[in-house]
Amino acid sequence: MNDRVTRLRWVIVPGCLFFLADAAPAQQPPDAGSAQASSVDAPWFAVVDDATAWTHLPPATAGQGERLPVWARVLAPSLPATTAGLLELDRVQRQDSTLDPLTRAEIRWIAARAHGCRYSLAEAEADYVRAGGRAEELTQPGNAERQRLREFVRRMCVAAYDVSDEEVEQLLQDRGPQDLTAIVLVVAYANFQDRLLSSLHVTQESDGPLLPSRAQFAWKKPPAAQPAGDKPPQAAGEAANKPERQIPAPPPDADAVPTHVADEGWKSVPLADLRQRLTGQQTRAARIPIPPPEVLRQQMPKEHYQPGRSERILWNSVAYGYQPQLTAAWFSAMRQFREESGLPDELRQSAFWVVTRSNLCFY
Amino acid sequence: MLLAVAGLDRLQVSRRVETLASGDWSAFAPRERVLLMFARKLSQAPASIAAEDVQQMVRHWGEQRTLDWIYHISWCNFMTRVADAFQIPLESENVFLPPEKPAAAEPRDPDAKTGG
Repeated sequence: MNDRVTRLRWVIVPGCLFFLADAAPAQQPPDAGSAQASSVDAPWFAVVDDATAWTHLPPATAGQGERLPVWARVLAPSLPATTAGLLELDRVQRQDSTLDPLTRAEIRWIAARAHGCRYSLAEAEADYVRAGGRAEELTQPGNAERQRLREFVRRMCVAAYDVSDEEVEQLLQDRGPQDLTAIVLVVAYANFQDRLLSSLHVTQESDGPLLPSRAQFAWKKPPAAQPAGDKPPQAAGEAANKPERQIPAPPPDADAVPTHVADEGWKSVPLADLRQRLTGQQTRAARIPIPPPEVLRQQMPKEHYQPGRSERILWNSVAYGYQPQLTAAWFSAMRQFREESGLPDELRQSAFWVVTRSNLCFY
Repeated sequence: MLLAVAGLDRLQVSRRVETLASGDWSAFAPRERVLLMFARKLSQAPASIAAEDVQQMVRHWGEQRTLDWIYHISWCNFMTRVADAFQIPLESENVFLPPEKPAAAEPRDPDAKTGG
């Protein structure tokens, strides 16, 4: 077993399902009808090869035909434009961050460890070493400032609701608003990516983590930003260009699906308390200065900007105001996904509610 | 806010939230319950997602739609982290709806008398 695996073994989270193995060739999707789960080492979705994946992706202006990470080879057939957006996002996150590469890789590693995601652990370690660090440094606590940062990252992953104003204020003093926003966006991206990877159950590429993709895509002109007075697409029911998805008929045992949330934690906070928190959040001071609207207008890509609407969303002002490139890449992928997936609005937002409730987030 | 953007009126939003918060999801179709429970589990403990969880999703939604939902739930966890980190104040109006159009001016009646 190689040295890379030896270094990683001791950080394995108990119960973690992953094993370092060769990336699987094209696999059958999980067999919904079988009683046995598929092999513990196999991805849970079909993985196509690079050539096949590239037939699905949009035309590339750079990097056409290059090797793709295994997660892209899972997503490309059903979410091609989204996958392309994610490849670009991943590069911006890993290579074009305003954070120094060692800090960025360390943050990503801490988050991957908190999530128990071996794929991301290996990739972050590789990025760290490539940036000039030594792998063993990742497990060392470092000075007080570094410890604060590491603990913040860890808790943002496992209990974000519990992070205090004082902690963030200290980080703001340590790093400034631009870097703090970049840190938060790396952590947020890790929370997105590790959940995606965990659910795909992908294993590391056979020769180790890949470099960030160099692929750049010839995007068609994005849907025109909705004028302020018009109904935004998400309020109009299902997307006009909803792609065909083959939804199976309910399985024979559909009625056996539990009707109630089993864990006691779900009702641990009464709805009245949740509503009170929402009301309180309206008058709360943000932990970071919110850039004025004119900054947003300058920083936000024109194709994303909606006059009279974009400025009203404070989330936009913070993210675009301090980290326009990271934020633009995130939203570009999101827009591709929204158009490609055509998820039903009501259920989509209900799922969002469940996520916010599960995370005890006010949003 | 986003439930309103999905087309629910104020009363419907309130009822939907009450239903979700109650934990009694019997009003949802079986595949919807599978989704919502998967969303909870993936949000709380991503490493605990097992093959059986994904298989259940695929049985009810098919493979492509399951991938869509996985992406969406993961996306939601991005958004909540940014909101939690910065504790961005909630806007008092629903900012995801378009702003109200200014009331159109009454057309002038050319026959109206202007004074006594």
